[in-house]
This record gives sequence, structure tokens and C-alpha cells, in this order.
Amino acid sequence: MDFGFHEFKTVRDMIYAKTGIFVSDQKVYLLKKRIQDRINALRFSSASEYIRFLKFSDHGGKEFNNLVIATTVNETYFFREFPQLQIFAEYCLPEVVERAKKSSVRILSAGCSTGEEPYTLSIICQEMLTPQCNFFVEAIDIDDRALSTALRGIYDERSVRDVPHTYLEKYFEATPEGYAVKDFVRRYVNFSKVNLFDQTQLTSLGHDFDFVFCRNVLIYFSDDSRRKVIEGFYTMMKPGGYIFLGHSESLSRITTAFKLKRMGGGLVYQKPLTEEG
Amino acid sequence: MQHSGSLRQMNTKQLLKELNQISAVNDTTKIEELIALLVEDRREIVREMVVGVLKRLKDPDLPEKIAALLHAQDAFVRNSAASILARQWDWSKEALVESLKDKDKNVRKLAIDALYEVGDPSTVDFISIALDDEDVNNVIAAVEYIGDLGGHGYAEKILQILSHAEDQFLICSCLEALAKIGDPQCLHEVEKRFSSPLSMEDFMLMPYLRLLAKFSQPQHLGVLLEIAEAKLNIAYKEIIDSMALFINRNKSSLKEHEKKQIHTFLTQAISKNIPSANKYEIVSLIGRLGVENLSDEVKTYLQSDDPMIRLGAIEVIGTLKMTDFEADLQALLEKEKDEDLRLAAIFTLEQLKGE
Amino acid sequence: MAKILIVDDSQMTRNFHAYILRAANFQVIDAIDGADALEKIYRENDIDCVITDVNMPNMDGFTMIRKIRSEQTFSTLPIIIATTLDAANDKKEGFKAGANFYLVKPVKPSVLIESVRMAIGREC
Repeated sequence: MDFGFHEFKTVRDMIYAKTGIFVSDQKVYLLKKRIQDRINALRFSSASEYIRFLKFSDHGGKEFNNLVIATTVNETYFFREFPQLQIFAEYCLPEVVERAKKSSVRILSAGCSTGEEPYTLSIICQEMLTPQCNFFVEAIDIDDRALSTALRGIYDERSVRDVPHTYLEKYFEATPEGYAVKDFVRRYVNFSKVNLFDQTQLTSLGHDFDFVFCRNVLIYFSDDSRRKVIEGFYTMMKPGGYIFLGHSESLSRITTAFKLKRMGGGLVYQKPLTEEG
Repeated sequence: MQHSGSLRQMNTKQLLKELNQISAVNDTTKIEELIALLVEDRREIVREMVVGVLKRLKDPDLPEKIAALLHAQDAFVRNSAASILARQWDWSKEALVESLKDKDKNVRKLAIDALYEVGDPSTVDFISIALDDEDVNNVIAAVEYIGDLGGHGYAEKILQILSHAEDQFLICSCLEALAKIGDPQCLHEVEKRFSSPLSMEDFMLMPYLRLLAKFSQPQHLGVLLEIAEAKLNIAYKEIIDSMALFINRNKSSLKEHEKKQIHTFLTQAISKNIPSANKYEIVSLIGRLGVENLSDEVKTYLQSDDPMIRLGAIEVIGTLKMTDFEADLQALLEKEKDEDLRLAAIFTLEQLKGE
Repeated sequence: MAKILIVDDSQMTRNFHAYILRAANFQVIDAIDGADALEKIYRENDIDCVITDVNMPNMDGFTMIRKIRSEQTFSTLPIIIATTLDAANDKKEGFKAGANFYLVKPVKPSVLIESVRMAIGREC
């Protein structure tokens, strides 16, 4: 097949320009294999012909979206993308509390799936905030089954593999069914079924969020819906609040209204303190 | 519909709601107000939201009003106007073609950009109008876009432009475009103009090399290797890409000694200080080249410290169906930490077992 | 080796400028528009010079320069505009935004190299 690194880069650039997702070099094999399968299925004669189809004839972007999904492994577990959480915990959280002299912090976990992310955030807040500062995590997803797993709050070995040992003892209880999240972690998390596309439903959660986490969720959406969801988040956030996408997702391909900041060696996006930025 | 206040007086929360509503019911009576907001409001999020709505509204009179914004002094406004027109292609054809004739060359350039942004090869015939633009930058843009959109019908015209071109950037653009939409005859014409490629400036040599490789025949191997050896340090990406193009095109007609020559060059290149991704490509190319007795070499690559070289080796094992490597792949899986490499090894093992 | 960021929505321009600068011993990375460039400037944190177009979708060059200059860390980062816009008021706006040099396309290779050298104050 005429799919070399040049072709890989062409497809990678397309994915980045359209979705803001950066596909790393190591994914070349996976992408090549996927494209080979699609070329066979759609009976194209070459990779360049397929790429041309993606570029110019894939109206509605369905083929393109499926390709993007195929290159992203979406597994959820506690403390996933640790460096990003570290920046949140050690830089953003203290910055928000200090700047606004806050006595409570509100966090949105959008697309929370089976609950690992919101519980992780609850654990981080317990660790980082003083008892005088309250916090609350609104966790939303559209999938009923994922939400019921989240509510149950019991996880297998694989899900907790990245939980630091001391946290595992402190915040989880080993039961015959698996690791159960303790009550004082659950208490600060509220799960509800919300469709991100339904702006009325989404924004009814409030307009006072200090943090929004929406990691590895937007990859499943079209350009327009992605933008709309982010616009919704923007109005739901307090000035100076932070938004986190997955570590290979780039917000600047969706909107430029958030302010970029370099914190703890990483990039974060902050809603401007004043609306004119 | 309930009558709401002026958009200009709303906060972002109210605006988001109102703009969604305008979009949902296609309220075209708000177009003037939206345009005013786009031009005057200083809030970035608001301007972006307005652009989003203007892209979605359906109204045959909209494109003309938006086309007027291509003249805006504010760079954000004029670039947004181009994007809106691109998105409104079903309605904006006339306005864009009209803008291609504007007396302001910058407006013509924005119109060319917008036509390209439509992302549809059918715009090529409109973009081609700019091949005759009096401004060289507009010709350059048109050449690039026609190449990218696959406008094969314009190869001849671009070849003509190349033959008169003096500006170096225009020459490069023509060469790059011809590499995409030309044919071996084009290469033949270009070769006549650039008879000693190694004396070309480096920045011009790169697009030339691409064109050469794309339509090459086995007899081009000599010049290709000569350029490759001389310029590997500054242009490893382009050179490896060219090798890939050459091999794809000529693989079946290459003689053993020619394959050997390429193989020697590639194995030397892999030891140079070039990025890992390019080394992966080299290993993968060695696999595709079809030389014999690769086992020992592949074994070395499979044990490399560089994950991209290991990935290349895994791929070669699959491509060449090297069934005697099953145990090596199993051994690799025992200790490999990189998830993507593990996946590649697992797929390849399945593939070998199927043989 | 100085690291140069080329910002342009045209792939051909990015390639052309990159060939020229790489041949003159610069390390080159690129970005497809102002927003992409900003991310790269913040992420890489060791860019020595930015060469940017003005008219680009998503985020134009002037807006990008204003954003770069609003950040203390990047207040002295050398910025060269390379654009097709040649009117006096465009140049004025470019310098007002915070650019150090203003070049009109098509830029001659020697001029591009010389401008970068002047901007960073060394050969390569």
C-alpha cells in the first residue's frame, strides 16, 4: 500500500486541524492498519485515493469521525492523565481559591462515564483543600448504564491501577466485589443524566463552575456540536475558571476565547477574568 | 416568537440563548444586528458565537452582505467573512466569484482563500480565474490550491506559468502543484528547464525532488541518490519521502543491483542523526523494497532502543510474512511497555498465525 | 541552533519558508494559524523567533501578536510579519500590535534569512 509516513502526516494534520487531536508518531501502525481495512471495505485503489475521499468527498464527515475514534483508545480509570491532574491540583485549584478567597469550589465533570473521573476529582479536593473550603462535583453523562456503574462505585484492579497506594487505603474499601469508593468521597459527587447537546439542560446546572473537565469526550462530536458545547461551558464558568480537555485534545481548534496559561510545565485554558480578555 | 431586546445589550449568558434561538428558527431578520455585533463587539466568545450563527443561517441575501466584510480593516472580521462565505457555498458562489474581480488584490486573495476553504474540487474552475491575476501572490495561492484540490486539467497552464516564472516562490509553488496534478510528460518538460538539479538552490530543490520522485522511472535512480546523499542532513524528510515515492512507483521494474544501491543508502541513513519517525519510515521502506535475506537486519531493528525502529521492524515482519519471527514477537510482548507497539505486535502475530 | 516558528495557513508557504531557513541552519517548526501558534509558543517555551502571516482563519496574525505581547514572558520574543498586505495602515497596525519586522510576500529568501538573523541578533 502507498501509505508511508508522508501519508500518515497528511491524515494526522487533517485530524489535528479539524478536531484538535494530536495523533502521536507511534500511532502510525494503527492508523495504517485501519486505513488499509477501510480501503479494502470501500474498494479504493490506493491510500492517496482514500485520503482524497476523506478530504473532499466525505460529506458529513462520518468516515473521518470513525477514523479518529479508531485511533483513540478510550479507556477510563482513576487518575487518568496524571500530569494534567497534578497541574489542576497543585496550581489551578490553589490559584482559584486564593484569588477569589473562596469558601467553596464547584467542578463539572462532563462525560463522566463510569465515574472514575469525578471520584478522582473528589479525592484530589479532599487532599488539597482546607476543611474550611467546601467543594462539589457535578458529574454528567448521557449513558444510563455508565451512570449506574458510577453510582455503584465499585471498581476492579485495572481501574485503580494508577491510584497512589496511600490513597487506595484512605479512599477505597477492598470488598469481595472490588474496590468500593468510600462514602466521604461519594458525598461530594452528584451524578445526573444530561445530554451535552441540550443547551437548556446543560446550562441549567448553573453558571458558577470554577472548573470544567471534559476529557476525551468531544472527539465523538461534529465541528459544530463541539463548538456549541464549549460555548455552553463558557457561559457556565466563572471568570478565571479553568477548563480541561484530554491531553491530546487542543481547545484552540474549537475556540480562542479562553486564555492560555503555562502552569507547572503544562498548558491550561482559563476563562478570561474580564470578558474582553 | 417572543420579541427580545437588542442583542448588543445582552450579557454572554443571554446572548448564547438568543443566538441559539436565532439559529434554530433561522431568524434572518436579525442578520443586520448580527453583523453589527460581529463588527463592534469586543468579546471574543461573542464574536465567535456570531460567526457560528452566520455560518448556519440560510438566506440568499446573506452572502452579499458578508462579502462586503472582506473589505473590513479588522483582520478578524474579514477572515471570518471568508470562512462564512466558504461555509455558505450553496448561496455564496456568485458573491465569491464577484469578489475575485474586486479591484483590491487583498479582497481577491480572501476570495481565493474562501473558495479553497470550501473544500470541494468543484471550486477549482473558479480558483483558476486567479491564475491570470496581476498580483503574483494571488497566482501563487491559486497554483497551490489547484494542486491541492487535484485540478489535473490545469497542469498544462501551470507548466506554462512555470516557464515564464521569475519569482522563486512562484517556481516552487508550480513544482509542488505539478507533483500533485502533473504527469511524466510534465516532469520531462521541467527536467529540460532544470538540467542540473544539484546546482539549484536548496529550497527549490525540495519541490523539484518531489516532482521527480512522483513521476520517476528507474533511470532516475542515479540523480535521486546523488541528491539524497548530498542533502540528507538538511532535508531528511523530503528525501525519505522521495525514496518512498520512487520505490512505490518503480518497485516491480528495479533490478537487483539497483535495489541493493537503495538498500545501502537506506541503511546508512538510519545511522544518521535524524528523527525517530524518519527511521521508522526507513525500516518500513527496506521491507517494501523487496531485497532478500533481511532476517538478521530485522532482528537488529527489533532490538533497537528506539521504539519507532522497533515499530518499523514489527511492520516489516508483517509485510513480508516472516513467520520465523513469531517467537521474537512473543519475546518482545513480554517486555514491551509502549501500548501502540504492543498492539502492532499482537496484530502482526495474528496475521502470521493466519498464514 | 535557533528555533523558528513559521505561522501560515498555506502549506506551500510553510514549506517554502522552512526549506529556506533549514538550509540556513535554523531549526523550524510550524503552525497553521494564530491559535495553533499560540499553543506551540506556550508549550515549547523555547522559541527564538516567530514569522507570521496576517490573514488566516481561526485566529489572524495581528490578534495573535497582541496576545503574545500581553504576556510578560513573551514581551521580547522577536516577531516578523510576512504577509501579502502591503498598505501603510496594515504595516502600522502590525507594528502597533507588537511586530519587530514587516515583510511583504513573496519574501526573497535572502531577506527572510537576514531578517531572522537581525531579529534574534545572531547568525543561526
